[in-house]
Amino acid sequence: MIFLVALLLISATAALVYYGQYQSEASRNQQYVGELNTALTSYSSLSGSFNSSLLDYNQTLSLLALAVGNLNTSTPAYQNASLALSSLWTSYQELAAANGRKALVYDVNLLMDFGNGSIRWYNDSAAQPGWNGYVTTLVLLKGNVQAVWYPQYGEHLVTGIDGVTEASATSWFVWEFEGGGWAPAQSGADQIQINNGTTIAWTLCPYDSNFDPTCTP
Amino acid sequence: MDNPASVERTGTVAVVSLFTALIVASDLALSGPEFSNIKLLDTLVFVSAYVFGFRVGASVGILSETIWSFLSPIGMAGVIAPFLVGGELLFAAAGWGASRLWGLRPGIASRYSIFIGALLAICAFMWDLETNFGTALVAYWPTLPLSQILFTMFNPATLLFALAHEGSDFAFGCLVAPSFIVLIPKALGRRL
Repeated sequence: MIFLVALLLISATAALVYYGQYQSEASRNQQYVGELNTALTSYSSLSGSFNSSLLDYNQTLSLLALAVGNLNTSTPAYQNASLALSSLWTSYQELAAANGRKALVYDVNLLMDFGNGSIRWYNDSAAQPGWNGYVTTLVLLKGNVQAVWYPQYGEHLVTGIDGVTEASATSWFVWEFEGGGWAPAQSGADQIQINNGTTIAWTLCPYDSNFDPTCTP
Repeated sequence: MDNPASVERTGTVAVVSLFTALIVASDLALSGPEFSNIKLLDTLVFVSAYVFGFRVGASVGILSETIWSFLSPIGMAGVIAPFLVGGELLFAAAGWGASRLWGLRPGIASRYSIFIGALLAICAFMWDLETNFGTALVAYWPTLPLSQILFTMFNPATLLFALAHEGSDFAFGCLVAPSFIVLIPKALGRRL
């Protein structure tokens, strides 16, 4: 009888101890749950802010591209912006990818023909919707384009690309690939609307008396 | 009682406003890439000066080119705007001078329409040279290397745009200007 009472007492004491530990762990668990919920809320808020910032970044890039397309090319503002635009565009795409989504871009192809047998393709390159042919060229070539801005024509006249400038008998011409063949652009690069799949080319060509290029890409 | 001077001033303001509105509207309509450098602006400045005098023509040219230099959908002209605006005075002077020379109505499809077309084409060429010079000044200030200025002014790549400008001005000068010069005074009940 006494043995049973003693066993009961010992069991009750052990149960109390383990119950106390259980309560302590449950309380700690609640605390962790609370912290996790707070972290989740913060993450959602941060993710929303990141998306919003990404949108703003996209808009800012668009405005910068528009500004670069209308600035006097000899101003420091143009020179700095044209060099920075390419890296800014690359980092925007990386940030968009890190967010788990692909940036809304157009796939474009650019061919550079330097007229001495040296050609370079920039295939499946990304361009922002709204860019024209000149801005696209500027971004893909990382700002290595020398041009004079003629505001009265709304056009940049390109005098050099990648340090290769036109000579007395040669000039840079821009071409569009349409209908299965190359055709010289009827207006300048600034008037070429870039869409998904657009393919343009720049060639350093001699020209005839009508200023028509005597070569093709 | 109406003061004739104020009535005349009101009429001048109305004419300038009407021409300016017409020019800006036509510029907008022709702002697409397929109409690169084709504008009714020069022709209408010429016509306004021909019919209403140099002051009206100059006012129309200055006002319309200033508006277009800053509100054009293809971009602001910026620092070069004074050259663009000043160039329009050429057309106003040409229109006033032509009215002194050919005071009688030129007549549609007469030889005067060819002269007017040629005059507008010459003014367009001078406008192109003057604005290219302005472009060079702005691009190469303050060093102003002469070779670069000359290259910018006479760059063969600008030929396409210049030809479109001069060709369209010649065509509008031959076909549109004489019609307006004949019709506007008739509509207003005036004789030149």
